[in-house]
Amino acid sequence: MKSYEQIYQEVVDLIAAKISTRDIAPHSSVFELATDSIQLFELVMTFEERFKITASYEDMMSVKTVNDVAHLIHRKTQLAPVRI
Amino acid sequence: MIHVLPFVTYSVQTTAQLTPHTAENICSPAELARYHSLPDIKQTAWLLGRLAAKEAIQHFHKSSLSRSAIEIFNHATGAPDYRLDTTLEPGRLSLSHTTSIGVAAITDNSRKIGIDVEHVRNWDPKTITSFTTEAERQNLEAVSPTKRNLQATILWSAKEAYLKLLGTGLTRHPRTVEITVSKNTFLVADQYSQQTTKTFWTQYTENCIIAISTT
Repeated sequence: MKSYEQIYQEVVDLIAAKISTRDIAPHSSVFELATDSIQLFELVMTFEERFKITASYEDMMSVKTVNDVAHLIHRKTQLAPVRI
Repeated sequence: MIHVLPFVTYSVQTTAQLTPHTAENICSPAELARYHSLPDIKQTAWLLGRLAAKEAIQHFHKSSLSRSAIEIFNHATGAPDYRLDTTLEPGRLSLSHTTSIGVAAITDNSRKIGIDVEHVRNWDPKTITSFTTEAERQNLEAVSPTKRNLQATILWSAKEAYLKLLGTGLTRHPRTVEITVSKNTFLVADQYSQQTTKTFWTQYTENCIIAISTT
């Protein structure tokens, strides 16, 4: 299971790849980093695909900062059933 | 530029309307502070939205209010609203912007309203699959490939305008709303409500779609 720090770094890398910026801090607003609503939507789709958290669209769209995104994903992945 | 529909007034502003002093000329002190706090690449789009909103508000109130006396702010939900330095009762406002166009729509405060503007883009097929319903995808398949990007942009813009009207914006998944596009209007089928709406869309320029939804 990934640590919060690992998830945070992956979230930053995914945003940087999508938005072509390295200027991302824990308290950066995800809404302000995205160029527009479609890019924001695509970013959320990317998070869901990468972290396999398909039921969390509304939650994901409700968070504000990069830190919030990483915390939400960390919490969701901790709750996810273990596949054996 | 102001456009008047039977149910709503909307304004469209492009970068051609901006001068180096637009922010200082049209913003209240609080708005100016917000403008300067934004990343450089966001400032122009934000300003275009404010400029469009203030023109729409002036026209709606048939008022000679100075633009800097109209203060636009966002509620915690992100929905825009405005204050006037007069006793005039504010209407309902919605605004949207891209990097080169700002739009704003206003109607009386007994209604709800949502507006969206988008540039026609080369859509990633995965994104289209994510935001469309099965019926919408079938309709897109029936369109020639050269017109598919335009049609997908109309669908997105219609959904976003409607979700803004509801006050949820994209916190509600756009797939929960099904859009059927007709000539300059669209029909909304909402999974969760029977909201009746008046709708309008236009291809403002070759690469720009504007959609409006109001009750």
